[in-house]
Amino acid sequence: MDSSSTVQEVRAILAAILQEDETSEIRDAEQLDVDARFADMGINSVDLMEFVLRVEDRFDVSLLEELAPEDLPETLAGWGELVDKTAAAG
Amino acid sequence: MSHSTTTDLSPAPLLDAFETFNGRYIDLDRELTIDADELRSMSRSIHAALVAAGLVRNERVIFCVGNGPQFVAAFFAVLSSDAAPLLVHCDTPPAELLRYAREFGARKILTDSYNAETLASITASTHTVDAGHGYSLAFGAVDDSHADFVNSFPALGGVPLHPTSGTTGRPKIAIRHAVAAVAEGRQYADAMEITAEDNLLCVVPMTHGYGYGTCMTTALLRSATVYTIRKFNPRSTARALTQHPITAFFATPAVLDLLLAARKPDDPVPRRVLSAGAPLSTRTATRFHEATGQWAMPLYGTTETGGATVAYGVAEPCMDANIGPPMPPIEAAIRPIEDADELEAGLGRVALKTPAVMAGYLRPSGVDASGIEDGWFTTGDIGYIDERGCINLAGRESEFINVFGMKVVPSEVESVIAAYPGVTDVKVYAGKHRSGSEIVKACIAAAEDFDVAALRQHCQEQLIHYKRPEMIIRLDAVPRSPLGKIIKDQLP
Repeated sequence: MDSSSTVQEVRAILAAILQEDETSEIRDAEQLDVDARFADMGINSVDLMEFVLRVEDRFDVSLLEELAPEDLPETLAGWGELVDKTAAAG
Repeated sequence: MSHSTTTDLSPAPLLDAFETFNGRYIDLDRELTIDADELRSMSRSIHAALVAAGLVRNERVIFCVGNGPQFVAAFFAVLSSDAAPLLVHCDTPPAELLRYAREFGARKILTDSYNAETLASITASTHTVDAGHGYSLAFGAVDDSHADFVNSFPALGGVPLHPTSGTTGRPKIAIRHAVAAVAEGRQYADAMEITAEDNLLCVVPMTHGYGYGTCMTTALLRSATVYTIRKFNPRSTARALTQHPITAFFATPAVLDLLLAARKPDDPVPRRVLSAGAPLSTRTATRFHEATGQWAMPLYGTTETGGATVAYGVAEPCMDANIGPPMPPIEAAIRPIEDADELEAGLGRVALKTPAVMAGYLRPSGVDASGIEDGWFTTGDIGYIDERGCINLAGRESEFINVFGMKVVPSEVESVIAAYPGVTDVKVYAGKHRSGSEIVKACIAAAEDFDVAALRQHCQEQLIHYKRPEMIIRLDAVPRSPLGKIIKDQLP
């Protein structure tokens, strides 16, 4: 899977989480800038943890227990790269 | 206000519970089991090291220790020194620890979150305390000659102290003396039928009143076994519930949501799953029931009163506003609200009468017990009591923000933000999260080219994670009325 399609998938995962909030203004995954920092998008620690869980399940990778919180990527583009790298490492 | 309170502030009831404890603490992070005798031995070692390093009776100690056997051992080491542990979250950054120490006149800091080298950045002298079994803590003395150090607090030893938002939105310290702590533990143990056969899973911070009351005091009183996880992680929690014979799990709504995302469909769940810290929404309660076949039970309390209600053994599931009936022997009543035209009849302030009520707030001028009348404490929550005797919450008067069960006092965050260069006005307030919890939002007045990312970095250094604003909105001016009051409707 190339990185750009991984980024699209993780973007869709994050959008799905944010859309569970009735007041969310996110209607479409494409509204999420893949280079925007999560902190600037208002993503909180609970959203982030749920995002990681769903990414782990979707790509069959283990990240939450392997990485320190400060080592987690801060953008969707960063997540795309991390998932590809982790999946490739097997 | 007086410091010569008639309340018995002796630590003896808690020390007795610790001495007679016959259970175990199992540290799942280190895969280490510490039995009761080893725990007491650890505590004696820490006590000796602290005294040798200069801890004296009646001193306040900022107690920043994470979940695990070392929490219990270190807590009783401080208490048995006739000093007063002031419990703060183990993720509290050094700058915030120092602020607390100065604001509440604590001369000492004890932590397992930072080593002696890091602690030395905020203390005048530091020591490493070897607690045995591979645990170590850092102990430091704060420079009490600093201008911000409040020197006028009364000397009170042997009393656990808990920070609270109180009912006025100003940070305060509740004196949760041993008599109150043990009364709370007994109430929990009786209401949830906790025995020595029970295995409790603790992922909520033991520095917080909920984790402290359930996973320390209750466990000590009933000699239960406690499995601890220092920092909640949904994967390791799901694994703990699968691999160990857990019989009671203390969670928050956000923990339950994340656990649902992490567990496998057939994973076991204990017969007692409690949820506290924030309202248990219908969404979370229903999802949890659909996935596990069990209802999570809300538990409600305040720092001032300890745990007050638990919906264990109630025929109908409780959720949303319904937080269940008071635990015996607690009495609940609804106090009328003056000038409350828009409120429905029957709504009022929730008042509680409990033997677990605090002795009062710690003030520089003494112990302030003025909020307790004939054993009754009026909370900042608004609600009513239904025909089943369950308390239902409809709102609150106090201004704190409830971030996934952790209470944030806006004025504390505002002070940190206001101190940052370029911020000319600030309002910190609650935003809504999809789980039903709240998030911290900050509206600031600053120039158009103001560096919001740099302000975020400042907050990261000065505030623990749950107090940091999730959203910082820069405006030319914070919306205020001509009289200077915040216009809430116009906040973004």
